[in-house]
Amino acid sequence: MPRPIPQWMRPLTTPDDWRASPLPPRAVRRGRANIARRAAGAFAGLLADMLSNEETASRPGLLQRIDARAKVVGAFALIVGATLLHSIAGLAGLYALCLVIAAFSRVPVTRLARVWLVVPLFSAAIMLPATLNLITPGSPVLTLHRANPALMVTDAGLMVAGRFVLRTAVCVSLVLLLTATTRPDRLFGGLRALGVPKVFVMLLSMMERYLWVLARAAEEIHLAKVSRSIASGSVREEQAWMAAGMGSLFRRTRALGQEVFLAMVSRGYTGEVHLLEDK
Amino acid sequence: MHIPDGYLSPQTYVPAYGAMIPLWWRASAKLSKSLRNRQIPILALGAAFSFLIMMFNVPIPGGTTGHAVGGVLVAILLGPWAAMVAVSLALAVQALMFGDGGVTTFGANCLNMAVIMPFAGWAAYRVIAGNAPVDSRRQWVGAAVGGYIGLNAAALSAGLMFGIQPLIAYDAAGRALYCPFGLQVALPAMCATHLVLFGVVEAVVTGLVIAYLQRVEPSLLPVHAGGLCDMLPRIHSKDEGRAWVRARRFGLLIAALILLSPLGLYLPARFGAGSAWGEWSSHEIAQLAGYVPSGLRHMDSIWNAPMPDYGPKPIAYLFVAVVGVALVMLVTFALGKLIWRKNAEADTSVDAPADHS
Repeated sequence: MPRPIPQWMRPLTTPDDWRASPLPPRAVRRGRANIARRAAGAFAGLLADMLSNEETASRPGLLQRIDARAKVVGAFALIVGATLLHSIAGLAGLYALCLVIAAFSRVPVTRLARVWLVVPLFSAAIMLPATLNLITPGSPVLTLHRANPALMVTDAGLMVAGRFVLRTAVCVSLVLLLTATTRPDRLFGGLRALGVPKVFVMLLSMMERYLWVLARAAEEIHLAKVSRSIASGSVREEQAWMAAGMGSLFRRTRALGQEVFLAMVSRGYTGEVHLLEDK
Repeated sequence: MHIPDGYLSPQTYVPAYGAMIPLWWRASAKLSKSLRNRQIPILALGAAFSFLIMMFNVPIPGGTTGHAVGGVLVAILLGPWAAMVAVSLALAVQALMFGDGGVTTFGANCLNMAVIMPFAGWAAYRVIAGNAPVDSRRQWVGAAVGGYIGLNAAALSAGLMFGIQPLIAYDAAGRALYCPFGLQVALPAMCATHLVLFGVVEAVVTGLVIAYLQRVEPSLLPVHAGGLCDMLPRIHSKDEGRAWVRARRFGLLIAALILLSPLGLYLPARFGAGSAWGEWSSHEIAQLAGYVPSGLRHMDSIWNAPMPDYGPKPIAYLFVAVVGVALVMLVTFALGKLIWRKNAEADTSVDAPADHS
């Protein structure tokens, strides 16, 4: 009976394929044994994110209909506004607005939840000490340690931490809405509205395109190791291997750069930067 | 190291953008000068490379992994100005497409990771590697030290940015509006972790990659880091033209400094400062201190300058500057000749042609 092709050898066409590919469920354990496997998973996750952005950006939705330049300027203005806004009610209102817009733009909750939860949770963890009287003096809300030195959660501390976490959450949500509803080429083109020079827009678009190729290469470098090793070496050996991986990625970068340049020249590139300024 | 939105106050992120804009402008001026060559694609791909090396898992003793920033590695491979652009682009894509690092704090992140880190690390690398041949140990040792110094410089800067927030941004009740940790918390937290752990990771990564390339494809290592934005790796090109351009620039700088030398007369007079601090003659010291130290009085007669107090004013200043510079150059040149002759016999470096495809 022919055995099925392993998941990681199949052609990958959807974001879920990428998420699944190098990570058979049982294999995701912490520890050195899986460093290469986890790294391969990280690169696959990157590609999956890029694919799912493209997918949500091409859905019919509220934000998808708006010109990229307007979205870029609007998102940036709102983010700057959020950093200037100090009232908790105002920030909460902005956050609610983000949720409503996300619903109307058909951005899937699962896609948002990862970034939407991770960044504020990280900020909250960092903010925990700031709620104490050691960092933010104020009237005590909860006393943790009565004796000398006294340790308590203060009202001012909670206020500072709450405002901080809410603000980071609003900013991340706004960026994510922009990303998830705008195709990368349009997004970078939209930066022109903020006065970003053409050269940088062109560099960003080219970089995004070849990020695909090089991320795939990086993933394959790791998969090659995973599929050829039965156990991991010492930390030293693993580090040397990782450096070799980076080095060979740089060699590919360099070779690909030269090929791309030659391809551009043979198609009439003279050093002038032109952008597709449609819509 | 990626500072998200909301951590820094506008009083911090606006000046950071203000500092970055002339730097980006300078870098893009350097790029557009050479737009007709292959730099654009290599730069775009270099940016993708900088993005991806931040994702490599680096094994750390104890079974866990860390990540390197790679700013110094990119600076060594592509040159510091190109690294500035490449890392900035990588940070831009991370901020815009993946929510990693903020949009308002983008300028601050670029300042830390795309300017301070590559330039500090690259300078350390250049000091140690010098003109050592491609296969020299000094290359990878320099890279490792550069990675360590670069990352710690960036961490110090980030710690300062965090630490000043409660000092400059607070509400009416004195509560912090942004990062609430003061310098006494933020600085040790950032510096200690980077000095002990992440700096070592960065050093290991940077050093090992350079060592790998030394062994596998040494032509990728720009031993002779000539041009600031020189993307084309070259081996020991003793480019006469380039040397001449540099010599001319240096000459212009010296000429400008000579022309400026009468400022030394004008400024003290303008501000009523008397002689330059520490350059008093013995009777000025008598005026200032009330007495002349006996040792000084004794030494006063040892050396009489051939042109005491530089004679009649501004023109004499210029004349003295020219003579002084000429003397210094002559002595340096003579010394250089002596040393170079010794080195030339030991120098076995091979000139490979620069890549001209």
